Amino acid sequence: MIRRWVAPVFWTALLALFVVDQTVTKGILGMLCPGQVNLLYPRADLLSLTLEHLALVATSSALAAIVGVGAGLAVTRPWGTLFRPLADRLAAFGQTFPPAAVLALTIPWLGFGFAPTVLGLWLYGTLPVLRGTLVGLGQVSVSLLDAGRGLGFGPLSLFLQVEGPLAFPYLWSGLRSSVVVNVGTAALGATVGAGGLGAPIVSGLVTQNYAFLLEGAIASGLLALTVDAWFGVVARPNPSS
Amino acid sequence: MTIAFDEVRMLYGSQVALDGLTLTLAHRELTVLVGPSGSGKSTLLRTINHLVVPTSGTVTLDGRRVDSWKPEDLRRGIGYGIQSVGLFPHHTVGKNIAAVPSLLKWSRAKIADRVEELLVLVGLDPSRYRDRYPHELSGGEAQRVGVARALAADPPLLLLDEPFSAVDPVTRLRLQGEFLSIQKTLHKTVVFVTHDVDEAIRLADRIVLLDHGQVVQYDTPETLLDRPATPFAARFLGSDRALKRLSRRTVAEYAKPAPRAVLDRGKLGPVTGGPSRFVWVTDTEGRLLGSLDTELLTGTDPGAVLSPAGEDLVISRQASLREALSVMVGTGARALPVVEADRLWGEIRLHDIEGAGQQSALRVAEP
Amino acid sequence: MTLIGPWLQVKPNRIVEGTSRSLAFDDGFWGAVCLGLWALPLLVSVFSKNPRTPARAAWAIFVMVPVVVLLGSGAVASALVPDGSFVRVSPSWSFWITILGCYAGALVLGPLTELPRSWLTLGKAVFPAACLVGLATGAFAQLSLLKEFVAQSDVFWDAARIHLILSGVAVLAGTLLGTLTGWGAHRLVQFRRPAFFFLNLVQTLPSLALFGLLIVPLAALGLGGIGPTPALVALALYAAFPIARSTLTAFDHLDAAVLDAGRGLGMGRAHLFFRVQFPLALPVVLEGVRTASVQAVGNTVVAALIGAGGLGSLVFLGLGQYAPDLILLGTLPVVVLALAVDLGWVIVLGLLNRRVRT
Repeated sequence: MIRRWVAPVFWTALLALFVVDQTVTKGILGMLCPGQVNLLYPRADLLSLTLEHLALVATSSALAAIVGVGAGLAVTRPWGTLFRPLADRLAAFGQTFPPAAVLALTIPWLGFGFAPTVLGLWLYGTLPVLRGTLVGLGQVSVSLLDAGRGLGFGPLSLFLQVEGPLAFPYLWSGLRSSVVVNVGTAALGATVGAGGLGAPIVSGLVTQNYAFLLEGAIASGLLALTVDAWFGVVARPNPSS
Repeated sequence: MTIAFDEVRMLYGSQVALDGLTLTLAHRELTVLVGPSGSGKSTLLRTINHLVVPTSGTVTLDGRRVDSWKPEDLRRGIGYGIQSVGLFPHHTVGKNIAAVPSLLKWSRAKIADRVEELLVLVGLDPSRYRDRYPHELSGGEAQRVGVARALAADPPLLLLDEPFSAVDPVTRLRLQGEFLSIQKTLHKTVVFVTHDVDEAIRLADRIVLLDHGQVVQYDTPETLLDRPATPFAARFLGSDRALKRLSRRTVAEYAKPAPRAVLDRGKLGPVTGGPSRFVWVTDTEGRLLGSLDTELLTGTDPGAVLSPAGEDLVISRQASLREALSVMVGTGARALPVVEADRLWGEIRLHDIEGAGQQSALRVAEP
Repeated sequence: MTLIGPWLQVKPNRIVEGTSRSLAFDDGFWGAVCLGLWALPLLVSVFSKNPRTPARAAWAIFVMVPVVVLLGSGAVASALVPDGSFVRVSPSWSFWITILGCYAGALVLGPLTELPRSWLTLGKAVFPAACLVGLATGAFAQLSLLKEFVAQSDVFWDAARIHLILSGVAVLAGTLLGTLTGWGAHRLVQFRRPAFFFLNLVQTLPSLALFGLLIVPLAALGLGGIGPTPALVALALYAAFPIARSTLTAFDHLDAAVLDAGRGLGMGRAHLFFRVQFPLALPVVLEGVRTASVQAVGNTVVAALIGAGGLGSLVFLGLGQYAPDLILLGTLPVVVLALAVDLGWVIVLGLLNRRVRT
């Protein structure tokens, strides 16, 4: 029971350690880049950058979850099957489409900044969630639902007690991968004025300052690992597997 | 609970699944719907609990139309079991069985007691099975849990759609036998679908034979076997109808007292149970030892002329006449000892079986 | 019968000062053509007795409208832009939404039309074919995107070449690393957890972060900081994960019975491997390579940020200058390339599976 909390707590601790206290950050960066004078990205402190990044990811992923799960649910109901091929195609397309390209395509029309980036991340993030939802709902056997209906489960209780729980692990996996990729794509948001942890990285690349580079890279890396680990807490294994 | 179908018609696009069926099924009987694939038997079953809505016609339970209930309420009052069982893989056996009682908001204590009671009824040890998951069960065990789940809320009506078809033949026979004894205790109204004629004949109080969505015949198994209404029915029942009739009779019904003698410490006691050249020999407890041709008895050692009883030459009381006949044909014996718990209970003779086979035919001849 | 689809007759085109044009108001001719395109099938479906006709008519509309819109934009651009001027005509959001909407509509209506598969596939190919024909004949030559392409063509082909090389080499290296890791994990159970822990870690990290994290040690080792080297290492590591996972799955799930039969027939270890295990495992492993290659094409875009070159450089240049055409010039080829690579692998795997199945 306790084991599943080890990873998330560990990564959160590392993240907090690196991000919260400036002296720690300076110390680590100083060790890694001896001889570098400017160690910390000047335009914003690491903590607010991290929170900014988190805000980008959280907002877009929450929206993506709502739309992705909603669409997946709608398309698997009898009244929604008309749109199922479209949903399947979209979900498959999302796997081929490069994440970096999505910002490049949405920004020119939506402008620069926080909100347009959230929009772009949202649109792209919906697809893996949709895929997970479709896979999860699709693998629930029809005869199982028939048995449930025959026993007297109403549509809502059938979904809440049978279909939903059985589909959930796949949905969760889709959501997890969507959010983790989102953390990575959001880093590129720095190139379109959205802020976040990409900013020190890009700045470091431009000015050849490896400390800035590492500041952003380590922080965003730890953030991604932390988020992924927290998703792992609810990775309930399916009893039938 | 009487089930009445009135001109029930079911169309899937242009395909006719049920063709204007009118039928009334009796209260507290085990009615078997049987027929070839595509005859409409599952469809007909599913109109009873409104999983299938007929294109036209009505289905009533005790006079009340099936669609006058809210579907969930209707189905919670009817037990439902299917071929693939459909146990919820993420719930334990206990939670599966508790499905309908939970929906009906029974108290936790009541549910727990009921689960225990049902597991015992279907022959599964509650302490071992209640907390297992479906993927840990064998096919036969899963089917038993399925039946338990269907019976959980003690519904007056039970609908079973080929519940035993997905297991191996040996398990199937066992499940049929156990189901029969459960039904003898519970006396529910049961509608049972199968494509297996032998299963239908063994289990049914009455059989509905379906073909292409129409009722070919609705009779007791005996009547059906004696007088198939159409050539199709005769073909479907198979050319071994007389033998099938025998599967409805048990050995116990036709066995006679066995001529027997007790062998006690090498000495043969007097022969009881009627004069006979061949006698069955038991020990002082009544346990069967073998058989003996009295003409070969020379005096001193009966044990020398004793033919010991073999496992394949005995038959149990609950066995069907058909099984008994099969043993006789296979071994050439003209009489078999009927044994219960190793003790000699009686004797069944080939002659008596022949009589049983012709009995119903004789009944037909009488006015 | 209801017809589903976005109804955007208004089609603004943007000129660099920012004035929009719409199909309805400014380019009446093409607007009329579109309307005509709608009207004809509608008329047909009113008069036809076949219940499937409305769906088919709508589907036909959805297939043809994008082509008309495409050609129209090219024609309008040619008309508006005198030779040698700096006027820029490019499609705006209504254009894209119409095309995407029609694609979605055709997809939704496809099953309803009950047309044979060959027809539906043909319908899907119409728009791409029109694009290719248009490009070849120069019908779109005055659209800003194409003008940009012509202007930057050296840079473009350079970037494309680098992009292909980077992703290609990365996939090759990743295949080597991935198959070895997967095979090792299959044979040595203790190796499994650490190997996959490491690869999973790498996969979770944002690509930009990984590139950054590799630059510093590589620079320290003197292998060059900014540039293709860290990109290649990172891309190879990214590619290795799906390949390692599919290799492990392939070998783990090889039917034990098949192996047993082979051994029973007297096949030696090597013989068993090359004749039995390998051909059976191959399709599954290649599925992993497929995933890896598609992802690699996408990941390479980010590599441009660390100075590795590739089509991403066009994208980021465009983002910096706020030049949508440059951005598109970088992005569209990447998307098309990713789809092409995926399609290519689907074909290869299809051929392979057909052979195995016999």
